[in-house]
Amino acid sequence: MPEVSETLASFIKPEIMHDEAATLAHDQLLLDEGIVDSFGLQRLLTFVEEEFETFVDDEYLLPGYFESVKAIAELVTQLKS
Amino acid sequence: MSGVAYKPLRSELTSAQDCESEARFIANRRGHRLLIHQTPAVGTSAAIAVICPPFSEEKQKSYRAHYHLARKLSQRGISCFRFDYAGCGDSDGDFIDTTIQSMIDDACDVINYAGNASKVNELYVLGTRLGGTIAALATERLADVSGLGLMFPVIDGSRYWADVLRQQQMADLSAGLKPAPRSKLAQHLAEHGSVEVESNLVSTEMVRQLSETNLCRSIPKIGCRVFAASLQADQKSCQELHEFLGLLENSASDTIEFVSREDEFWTLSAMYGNYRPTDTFERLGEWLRP
Repeated sequence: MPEVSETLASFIKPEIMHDEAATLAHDQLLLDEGIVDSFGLQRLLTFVEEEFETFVDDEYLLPGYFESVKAIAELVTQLKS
Repeated sequence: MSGVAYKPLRSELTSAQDCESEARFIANRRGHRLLIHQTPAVGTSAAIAVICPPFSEEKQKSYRAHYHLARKLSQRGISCFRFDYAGCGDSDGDFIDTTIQSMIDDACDVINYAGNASKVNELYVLGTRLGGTIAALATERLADVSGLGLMFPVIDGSRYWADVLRQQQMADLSAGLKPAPRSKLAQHLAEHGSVEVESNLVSTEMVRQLSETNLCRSIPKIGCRVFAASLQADQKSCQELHEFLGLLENSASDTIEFVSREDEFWTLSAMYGNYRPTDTFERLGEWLRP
């Protein structure tokens, strides 16, 4: 799972935060802290589906699954298992 | 907004008077007043460009980028026209009456108005996302368009509609809400004739027309030069655009494909942030008037 988290962070920093040198803790709250907005969330979801070759069904669209890099990594792991 | 690096806005204008835009209303063929922003060319106007805006949330996100594009082009001697479709922004009408056909008609009305008002020979039609699709479909219906500029155009309308619904879900999610499943949104559309997406009531007819729009299946006949930018980060859209340009090669006089970075165009606060578009608009400006 650390690898999944790293992959997610390496996408979020340049593509959503527009700052590769930004600090992003894996448990940092993406939505509550305004790091990712709805637009960024859609891009992140598309990235997750393409990068990890999975499909995030509507039933998994719950705030808790997307609150942090760690939470998304757990969701990816769950979907892949 | 921790960790977000905004690009500073540095004015490239030679004076404050340059590039001042002027707003006015024109009547479309249905009698609605459409709001137009004209940014006159600096110096003698050698050409005009009409910029077709995207749909809903993407329209908001691209507002500032289009504003800067108009300013940039005006410095190249191109008089720019931006507008709101009927039912959108400050134009008359209700969004529920907006369809792909009404958007094409509005674009054609603005292009005809701009052409008649400016009396120049070079006319360019530009558009972003769904606005790019509308620009392509309007160009097909008009004579004397010198060039078509497409920025990340929607090629497959049905895939785009699925993305729009998902965008609505993402808006709910980012607000801490549990989003309605897309199947439920589709059911609501079927039962009530409309569905609320991104604070707009979208009609069944709009969804039908959108779903039938596919530029690779119904290839518009474009006789002019085409500039097309795709987004590096969106591989599927890149592939679709590449395929579309391949299909266009028989009719378009010349095509150029450019890959843009996401941060050039969409920003977390593109509407209000200090944002200055870079390579894509630079390339587009050079392509329009070298």
